[in-house]
Amino acid sequence: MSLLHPLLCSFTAFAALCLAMERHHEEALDHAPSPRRVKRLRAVAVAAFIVSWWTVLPRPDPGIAWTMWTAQLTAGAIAVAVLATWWPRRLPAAAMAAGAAAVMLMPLLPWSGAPAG
Amino acid sequence: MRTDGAREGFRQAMAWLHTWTGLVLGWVLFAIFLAGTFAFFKQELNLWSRPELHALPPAGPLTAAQLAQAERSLNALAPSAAGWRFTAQDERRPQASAFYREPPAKPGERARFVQRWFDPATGEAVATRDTFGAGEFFYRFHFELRSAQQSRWILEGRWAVGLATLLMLVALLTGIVTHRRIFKDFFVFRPKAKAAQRAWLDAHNICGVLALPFYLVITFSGLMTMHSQYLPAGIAAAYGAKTGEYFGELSGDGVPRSRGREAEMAAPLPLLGDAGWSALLRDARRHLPGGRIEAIGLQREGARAVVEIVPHDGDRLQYRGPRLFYDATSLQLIRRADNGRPAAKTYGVLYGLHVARFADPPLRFLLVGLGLLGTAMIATGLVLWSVKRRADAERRKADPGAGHKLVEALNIGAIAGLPIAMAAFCHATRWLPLGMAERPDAEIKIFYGVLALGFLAAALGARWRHLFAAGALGWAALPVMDALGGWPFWQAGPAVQAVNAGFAVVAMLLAVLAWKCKPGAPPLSMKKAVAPPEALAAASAEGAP
Amino acid sequence: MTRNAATAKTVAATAGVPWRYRAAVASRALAALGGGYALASALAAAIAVHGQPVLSGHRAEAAITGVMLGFIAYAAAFMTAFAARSAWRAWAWVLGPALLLGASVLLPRWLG
Repeated sequence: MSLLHPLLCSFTAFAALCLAMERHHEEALDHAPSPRRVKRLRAVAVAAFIVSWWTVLPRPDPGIAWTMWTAQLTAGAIAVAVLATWWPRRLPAAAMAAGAAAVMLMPLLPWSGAPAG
Repeated sequence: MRTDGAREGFRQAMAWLHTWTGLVLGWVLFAIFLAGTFAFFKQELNLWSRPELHALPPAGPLTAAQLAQAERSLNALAPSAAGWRFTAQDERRPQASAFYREPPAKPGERARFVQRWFDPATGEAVATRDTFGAGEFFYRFHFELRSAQQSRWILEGRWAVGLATLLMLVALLTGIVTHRRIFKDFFVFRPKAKAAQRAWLDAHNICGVLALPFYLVITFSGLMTMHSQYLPAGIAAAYGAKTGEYFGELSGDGVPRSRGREAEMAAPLPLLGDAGWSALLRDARRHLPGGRIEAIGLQREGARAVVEIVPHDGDRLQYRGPRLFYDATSLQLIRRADNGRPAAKTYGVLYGLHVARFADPPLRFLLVGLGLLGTAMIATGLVLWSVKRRADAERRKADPGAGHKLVEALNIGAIAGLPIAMAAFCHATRWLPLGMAERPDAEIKIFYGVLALGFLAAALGARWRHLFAAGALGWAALPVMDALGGWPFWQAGPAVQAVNAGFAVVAMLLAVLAWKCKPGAPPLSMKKAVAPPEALAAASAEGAP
Repeated sequence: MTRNAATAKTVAATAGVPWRYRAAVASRALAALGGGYALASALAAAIAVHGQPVLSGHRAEAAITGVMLGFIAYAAAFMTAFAARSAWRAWAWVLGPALLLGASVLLPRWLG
């Protein structure tokens, strides 16, 4: 659980960045993305990255928090790369599912800036 | 660098450099990365290597009674020792341990370090087999290419690893410079590409790019862990003849340690007893709120005996944590050793990042995954060179040359052979006769012997699938033989079971690789090694090395 | 292909590489490895010595800073040795700063 929410967020973010690229969007959805869609996808990615950083933060040692954030970023990127290579058509659905799950889990997280212990 | 001596661009020069820095010691780097990845589970593997400890229950907190009993045991085992260091149990190691320096039997001989294991519940020493420990060996192999228990080649091994690490750093930086489409191709992996070279290049790129922060940190921090050997000029310039004071000042503990030799002649170490340890632990825990205790040392400082309390390495990123020093007789806090200055803190954080003591199980598994990805990056790079060279040679209708044959044999022997040797080491820790003299050295010799056999087999024509299959069998045999061999397999705690599961996963990975390398599998067959000219032209236009 | 023909082709392929090229590679490699080490050591020593007044006289702080920057300089020197326009320039780029920095550390000692 400690890494699950940030992981869902970074998966969503990287999937959005991936789909914002023409080649991967075509592999997933058979057509190139419109400039508006590209802008929106990038905005979603930035928002998801910020949320992932925010939920990693309540941890006793800030150095460990940053390390965990970077590590789970890599895990999210790897997951998106795997999907984009072997199951590109599932990528949009997976991204939306991960994003929805991340949003739904937010009320369950420790929210204050105080360390979770 | 171009053979015709013509000028070339910065990117091309760095591409050339990337190829050669990666290739020259690539097999050593592969070994360092693979062994280092396994070393993330050093404590679990060390526990697995000592079945006598498997029946211990999961660890509870450190108690004063346990320390009092351990103190009595150590006093009985080594009454004339100058000091000892006791490492407490934690969630990754259910046993406690202590090591001390045994004074030499005859004056002029070197003193030996002895390590004993303790049951935390009773505080009694547990007799364990004489083994180097799988975790300990993979850990020491990865940074000093350890060849024996008391090896004469430790410094040389560390120099070799240091050189490889420097080349790795250069390879990483030149790789970043060379990869022109680093963002566009961030997620691109085309395993079914028409040209095998394209697929291998994609694999190498994606392994490299996705975990780039991890590789840069691991490589640079790896250099820093042995900086006093690699780059002593800075220390010598600042300290002149008194370089011994450097480490104390770096860790925030300016008091010089007594070397121990004259201390051995002094009075025996005091026994604190239950009450003494109780008071000490209470005070120490007050100073380390919420923190765990990693180790307790009793040693001499000048005329008095001092207790050093070391907090758990995993409680903060900066390695080492702040240590507390108490007078062993009056039980008063003498000083607290810590260095919070920026450069020292940076060094401590780098060290901590490298040894990853801070990682809880989910993060630890993630780090192992990244380590395997790095190992794959190095392996795909080595294979890519071989595939590309063969493709170039076929296009020119020439023989690829002896150098290429050498690289192919080394690739197979290293990439497919090293896992077999590591499994052989684990088997040796179990099956070598217990009373054997110099058993740890025999374990290590078996490792190197099997490694040499792997290279020999590759030179004599063994293919990838043969060696991968042998590796899969070797790793799968470990938990199977444990279950059948009369060890307390089913009563072993979760850490040991996790190791067994890990062995099974490694076996499955190797089996998948063996299956993928069977003849006729598209990405690796000879036919597809030669790409249509357009594909090759496109590949080189995109800045392939 | 007979063994002799295969050997002849290999010899032809490798003989095509001029000795100039091999000498240039060797020279740059030496500049990168050896010269780079000299530069790294000189930089580490210079920072360890001259950085102390800036770092309130704390020797360990200056020394560890020097070592960390020294390793970074080593990697940079390595790349410079192969990016330079000629092997001579490679040596100049690497040894020049090394000598200057080394002098800044050693001359005050020799002279005072």
